[in-house]
Amino acid sequence: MFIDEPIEDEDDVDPFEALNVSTTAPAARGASLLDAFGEDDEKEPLEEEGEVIATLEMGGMMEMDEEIVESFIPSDETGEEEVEEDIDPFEELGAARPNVVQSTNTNVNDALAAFMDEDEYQGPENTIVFEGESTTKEDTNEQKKVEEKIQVKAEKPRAQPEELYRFLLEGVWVDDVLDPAEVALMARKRRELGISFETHLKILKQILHD
Amino acid sequence: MSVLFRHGLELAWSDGRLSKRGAILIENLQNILELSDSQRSVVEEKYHLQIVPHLIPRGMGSGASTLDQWMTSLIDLDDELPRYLVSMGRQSLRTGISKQAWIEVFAAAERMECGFEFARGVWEPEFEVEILAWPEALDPVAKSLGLLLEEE
Repeated sequence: MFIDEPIEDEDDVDPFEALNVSTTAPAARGASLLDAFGEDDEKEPLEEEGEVIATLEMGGMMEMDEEIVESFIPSDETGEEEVEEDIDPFEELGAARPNVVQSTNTNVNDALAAFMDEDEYQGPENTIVFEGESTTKEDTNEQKKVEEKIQVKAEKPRAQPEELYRFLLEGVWVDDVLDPAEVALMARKRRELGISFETHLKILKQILHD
Repeated sequence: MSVLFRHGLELAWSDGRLSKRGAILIENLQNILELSDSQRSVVEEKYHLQIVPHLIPRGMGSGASTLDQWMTSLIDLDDELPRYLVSMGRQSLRTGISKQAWIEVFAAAERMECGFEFARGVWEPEFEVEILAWPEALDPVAKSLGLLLEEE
């Protein structure tokens, strides 16, 4: 065998194959690559949509991976802001927080007491009577007084019709001129209050001569 | 009351002098209107102080005749007087009646024993009132109520 003699085995080896290089033209290769991308775009969204619909139908949302959940639900809704809400604005501003909670401070209680109507509250303070426990004599007396007061208030007579009519009649002369509307009003009031015309004249004379 | 009595004084002094007859007629008017001496003096003194000094004497007290005529016609109204006063009360209400006018005319109407009727005309709108033209004798009342201008 000579040196110049071609060796068959060596001829059979494809250098492109040996170097792992593609033998196809770059243009043809690019076209096939684009085709591959096109196929992926069409297929993948359909597959993903199908999966999402399937999981929603099955109520599978809860089973979704945390990563997926994060990608679908904005961070605002996941409760991250709760942490922000917990921040005390007074603390942030360095101001003192107003004392809304019932205070044991006597000054605060006094200020509230000043706004309370003393007449309205008539019962003894902090009186809790348990079953079987009798109230003291003072308590019963106080209760009686309160009841009497209420009774007196209820029995207090309402303004007499004549007094009411006199008040209205005085108002009629405020502008010094009597007109038909005022006369009609007074006539209606007489009917409502059951006042006779003679009584009207009597009251009128009293008003004008006072 | 003073409305009518004052009108009597105006008539008696109309020519700037008061005759004896005129003075007697004034006395009669006081009796007709049932005025007490003190009530009369209040009206008469006011008139003597405010009006009489400004009168220009130009007669012999002929106003007494005019006063006599007026008093006669007023007395003659008799039964018709309540109807006229009711009507005048209603008419005055349409234009508005002042407190002073009410006091004066009601007092005068009471003196003529028609106070209740006049009051009904003013204060009872449901009371049917016939609107009448008042006689000349009631002109002083109409003036007080503002139904007649002073010049008229």
